[in-house]
Amino acid sequence: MSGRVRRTDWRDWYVDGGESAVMVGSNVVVLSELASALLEAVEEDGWTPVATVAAALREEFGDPPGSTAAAATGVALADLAAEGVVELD
Amino acid sequence: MILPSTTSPTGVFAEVTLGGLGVRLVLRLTGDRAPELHERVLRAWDRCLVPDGPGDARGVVQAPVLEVCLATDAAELTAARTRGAVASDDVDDLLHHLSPAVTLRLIEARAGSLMMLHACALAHPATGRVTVLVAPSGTGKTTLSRTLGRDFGYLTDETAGVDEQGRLLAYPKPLSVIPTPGAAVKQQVSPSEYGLRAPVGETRIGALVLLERDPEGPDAPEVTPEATVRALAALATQTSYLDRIERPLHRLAAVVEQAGGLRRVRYRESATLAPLLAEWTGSGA
Repeated sequence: MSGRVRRTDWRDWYVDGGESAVMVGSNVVVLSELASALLEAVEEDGWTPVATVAAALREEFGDPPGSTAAAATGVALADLAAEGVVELD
Repeated sequence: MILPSTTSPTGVFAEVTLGGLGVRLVLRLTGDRAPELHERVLRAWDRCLVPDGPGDARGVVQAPVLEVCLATDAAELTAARTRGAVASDDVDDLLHHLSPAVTLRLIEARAGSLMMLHACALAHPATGRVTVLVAPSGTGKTTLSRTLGRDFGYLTDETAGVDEQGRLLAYPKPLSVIPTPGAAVKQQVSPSEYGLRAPVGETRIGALVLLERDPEGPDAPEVTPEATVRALAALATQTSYLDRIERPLHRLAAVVEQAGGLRRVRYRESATLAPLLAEWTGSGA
């Protein structure tokens, strides 16, 4: 899987159990357990290969029914990028 | 609190010091009708007046002076507005615009240091524990204050300030009431005129509620607890200057936890909330 991802400049990230909330600008985005784990797999500073993130998700959750961890990661990263939580390259 | 009662050479009739959210704000009253303005401000803002002398702990931060001008002459009003004053030739209109101007000065002064929620806040008369009822503007905070504030101590119908220790900093402003349906100018009525109770002793957050008033709602209020992460998203839009606070989500989560979690409440009639407030804040100190 090609491409890389990095965190944007959030104001804060609050994790409680599996879910979390990220404050991007003045907007607060609630993240599911899967999205929170995905964000955890992205390095705090600098770029992380998308394949590395997908591997971390597969290890934690396995492949989703009828799909692959790589495909699910791509969809989730696109959603997070649309919310301004991560940046894709 | 009140300086000379005659117009000074600089045109200042009087200065009135208000306190709210732990801020002191001096109102400088000017204009040829300032005596009338002075009397009305003292009456409407009676719960926010800061007494003279040292030792008053309510004002810990000083906001920039705000000039308030009531005048008949258009040129005088224009000059006052140019100086940044709130100005009008109508005292009701002036008080209507003064209220949000004061609120803005106070919250600007506490930006980054105080968690401020768009809420009315009511203290249990025996325990001092406070229910903070969060709701957007125009959705019933003032009505709630008028209805429940006779039994619970009135702290604010506009902005609830919570410090890091969970203490509520009062802002008992006048209630802004629409005198007749469709009226553009709201009347500013002192909480004392409505017989609202003043809180006694130290006030601490005891319950945090996100209100949804529904005219078609149930007879008895529906209460639904909200997980903390989702509470943050729901509350963030009802805060002032959240992004100026260090680690804002952690600070907001601390307020939620201090209150025992966020409760969503759907209700029809404000009076039906009284037993819930008593239940949530009636025990403990």
